[in-house]
Amino acid sequence: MSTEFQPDDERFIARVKQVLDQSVGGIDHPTVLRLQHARVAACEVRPARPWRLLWAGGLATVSVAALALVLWVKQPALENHHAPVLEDMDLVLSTENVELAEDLEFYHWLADDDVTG
Amino acid sequence: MIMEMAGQESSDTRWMCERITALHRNQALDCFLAGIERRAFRIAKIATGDADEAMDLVQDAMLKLVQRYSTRDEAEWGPLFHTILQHRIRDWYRRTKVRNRWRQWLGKGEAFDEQCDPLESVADTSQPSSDKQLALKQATVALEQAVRTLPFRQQQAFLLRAWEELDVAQTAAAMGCSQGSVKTHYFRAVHTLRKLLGDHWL
Repeated sequence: MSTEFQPDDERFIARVKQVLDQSVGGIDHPTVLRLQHARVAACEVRPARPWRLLWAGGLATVSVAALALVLWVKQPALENHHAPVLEDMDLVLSTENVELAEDLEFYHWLADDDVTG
Repeated sequence: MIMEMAGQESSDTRWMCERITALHRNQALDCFLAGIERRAFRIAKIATGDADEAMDLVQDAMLKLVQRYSTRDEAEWGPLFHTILQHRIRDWYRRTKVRNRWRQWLGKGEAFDEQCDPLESVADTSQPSSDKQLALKQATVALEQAVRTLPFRQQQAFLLRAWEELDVAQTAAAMGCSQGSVKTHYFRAVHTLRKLLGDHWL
């Protein structure tokens, strides 16, 4: 079936378009106001974020949460690991231990003296 | 410190650019919707025969366009808007069909007809019309009645092609059918309307 239009058809379509265009001006004032309100309300709506941005945001949140969880779980083990080091530092830095070390040198000298003497 | 300040300045500039782009886009959208809203309302009203339903459909289409497609190129907004509106109208048809079937089954068809306000059908005589306005009103009413007698697909094809001047591909996308179907529906619609409206329309 041919779907080509004749010149008469084209004139008819142009006339219909003219009537429809003019009819738009006849829309009553309350309806025009409602349309304006609908438009303003639509323009105030924020565009939805693209899916890939949502995915990226979600992935970043999950990564940060996972990192925080790992650090939190590991924390007691690190404290235990550091505790002996701190105790050693106490031993090394205390003044009593310096005296003990000096006494040890004295006892070594005495022992050497006994052997040679 | 200098690096930090430069970074802050760059993020401020980016924020400003984004704000300006968003404002420009909002203005462009407002202009686009202002130019199309009345025709869209007419199309929806011809399809549904009800001003409130038509208003809801147009509002939904506007919201969806802004939410989903406002970042698209401005040239695409027209075909996209009509695609959304036609989907909404098709959904409305389906819902109405199901509702009417239930109403008939429950025997409430007549009760529903009685609920219609008879005052709504009374002509508005508050503003005296000139001959020209009267002729236009009569022509519009005759045309709308004739378009409403068309099958839904022909109605869609006719309004989108003849009034909105979408091309065949855009109309096919909006109607969700092939380009061949659009040509056939449009051709049949024009010939049926010519028969219904008579030769004085030429």
